[in-house]
Amino acid sequence: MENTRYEFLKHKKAKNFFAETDLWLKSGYHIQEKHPEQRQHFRFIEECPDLKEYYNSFYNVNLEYGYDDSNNKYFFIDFFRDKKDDYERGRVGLFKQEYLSVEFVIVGVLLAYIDIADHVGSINELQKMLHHDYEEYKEGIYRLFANVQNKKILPSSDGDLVNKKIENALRKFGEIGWLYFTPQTDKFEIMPSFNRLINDLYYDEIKNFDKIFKLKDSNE
Amino acid sequence: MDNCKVDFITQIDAGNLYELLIPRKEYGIVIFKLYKQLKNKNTEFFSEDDIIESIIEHKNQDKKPKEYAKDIIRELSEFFLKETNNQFRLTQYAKGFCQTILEKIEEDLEPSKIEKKLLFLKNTISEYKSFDDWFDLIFTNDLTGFIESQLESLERQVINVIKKFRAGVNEELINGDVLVKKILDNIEEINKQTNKIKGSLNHAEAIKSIINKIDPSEELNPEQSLQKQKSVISFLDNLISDFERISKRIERVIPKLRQFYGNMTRLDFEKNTNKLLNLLLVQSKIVGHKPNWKLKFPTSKNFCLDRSFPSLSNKFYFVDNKKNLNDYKADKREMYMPKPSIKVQESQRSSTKRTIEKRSKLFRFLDEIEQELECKKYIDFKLYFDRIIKDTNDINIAVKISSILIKKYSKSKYYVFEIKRPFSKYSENKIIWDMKVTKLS
Repeated sequence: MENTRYEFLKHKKAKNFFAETDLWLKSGYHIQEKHPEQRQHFRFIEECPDLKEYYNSFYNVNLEYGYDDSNNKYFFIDFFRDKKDDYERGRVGLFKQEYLSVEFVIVGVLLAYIDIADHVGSINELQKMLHHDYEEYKEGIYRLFANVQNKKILPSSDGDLVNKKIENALRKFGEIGWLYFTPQTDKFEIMPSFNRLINDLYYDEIKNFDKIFKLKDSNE
Repeated sequence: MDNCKVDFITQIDAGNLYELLIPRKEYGIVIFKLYKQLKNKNTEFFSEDDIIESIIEHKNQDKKPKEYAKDIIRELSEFFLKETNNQFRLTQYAKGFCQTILEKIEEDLEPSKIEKKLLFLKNTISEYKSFDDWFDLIFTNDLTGFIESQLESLERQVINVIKKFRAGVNEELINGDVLVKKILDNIEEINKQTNKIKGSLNHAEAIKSIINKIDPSEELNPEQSLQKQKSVISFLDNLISDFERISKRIERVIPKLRQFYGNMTRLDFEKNTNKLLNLLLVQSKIVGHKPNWKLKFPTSKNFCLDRSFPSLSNKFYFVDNKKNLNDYKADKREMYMPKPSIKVQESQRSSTKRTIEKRSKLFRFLDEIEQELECKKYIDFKLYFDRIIKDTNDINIAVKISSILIKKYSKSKYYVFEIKRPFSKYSENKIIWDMKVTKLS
């Protein structure tokens, strides 16, 4: 009876795709059909619903999915959340948590905000947009990314530092499958799973911004 | 010509000429205000009070207004204002300055003109016998500058529409649908213009293919001619790639903007995403000093902005970038190999030789013993033990043979295995020698 539980191991794609899919999921990757290098892995997960139970039983983590605005699906592994809404790590001695740094979150929210009503297609484009089209964020980003106190004097080294940090964040998003980079270039395509940043991870803070952050003002 | 350039740069770099010719923003704005009044009221002359008034209404500053305004007038009097009988008027330089900037800001998109210019380039390049003549007379900065500035204008229009949308969303009281409809109308109009330009880019491709067929060696200075060809191709390539980028931006933006239509929740979400971004930018904390500092999220007991991901603990592994195993095997990679000295090599060789000799002696004796056992059905290993030691001068061989015999025959049901001496408490293998084996028939 037990053998019928994990049917995915007998799936015709299992031999070629299970190992890599498993490694990617546990490494924090997001897997979607739109990603040119993940199509087969995505279909493998789609065709094997018992994978969810596998991660649940053996790792005590959740194999979850989400959709972007155009209804494109993506998969990822999520930690359980306890009653206080803190992340429960389950049997994940194998893993270590990696925090999204402030820089990464800022670049991510900036990119997501631009993408809501505009289009960005490369690292260089985003770097240029910050200077020309979205100048209102430039001062804040320079203050944090280059520790610039005097906005009137901006040495080029600070500009390089800011650009480097933007690039690092975008490359990291590429690593976890939020962006797809055309090989050997700085051109990228935003993947459906990038939606997770504002539609899942920071959804509550954005949707209830006034309530959450005004509460903070009144208490401090 | 070069001398002229040096003089010109030296001149503008010296003293405060640059600042006087290109005024800083707060001073320049005064000039634009006066220019606007000049256009609206059709008046050439301004009193000092007129100027002071326009400065005061624009700028809130700590300095006494009149004193501050007089500073500005003094500075602008060098190139922008002319005083006659206590009346001020804008100089020709000031009017030209404002006019150039206004033209840049209000530049209209003229797709039909772009098409005409590109078509003109295509037709003339075939008509001219010499490419160099065509380059010098037709492919002028005026013409290429016009096309480039049209593309800049196209991109600026797109950005302005998006900015208008963002600003509209952030207003307190908005009618979302009215805003989105207006924005969509604007961007769709830009899209129409873009599609017209798209058609004319065929001419750019045609010009490229004509140039690729021109042989520069037929020109007076082939090397120079080749450089000219390259510069035309590079201009056209940039034109095409810039246009594609802008046109892609428009294509992607339109459906995104449409999603806001009739969807106030989405508009609110957009507005709040901007608020979160600003909160992160303003309230994130810097810990430490340059060059080593860290950022911390804004914190409060009511919210937490830290988010984590699972990831494998062991992220460092070696990856061979060979495509497949066959390539990997075929490839002889260079590796560091230590070279031992001749002395060491010789000693290794003789040691190997000794080992081989020992092994062959061992098997020779073992064969002999086993043959005897097969023939006579009985052996007394004690007799062999002494002989082996005498012959090989190595007790280890005798011990090793005894060990093999014990393993092979002591538990076999086809042989009777007797050992007279008890096992030593120190070692089972090294001093056992007095044993007898009988084969059962």
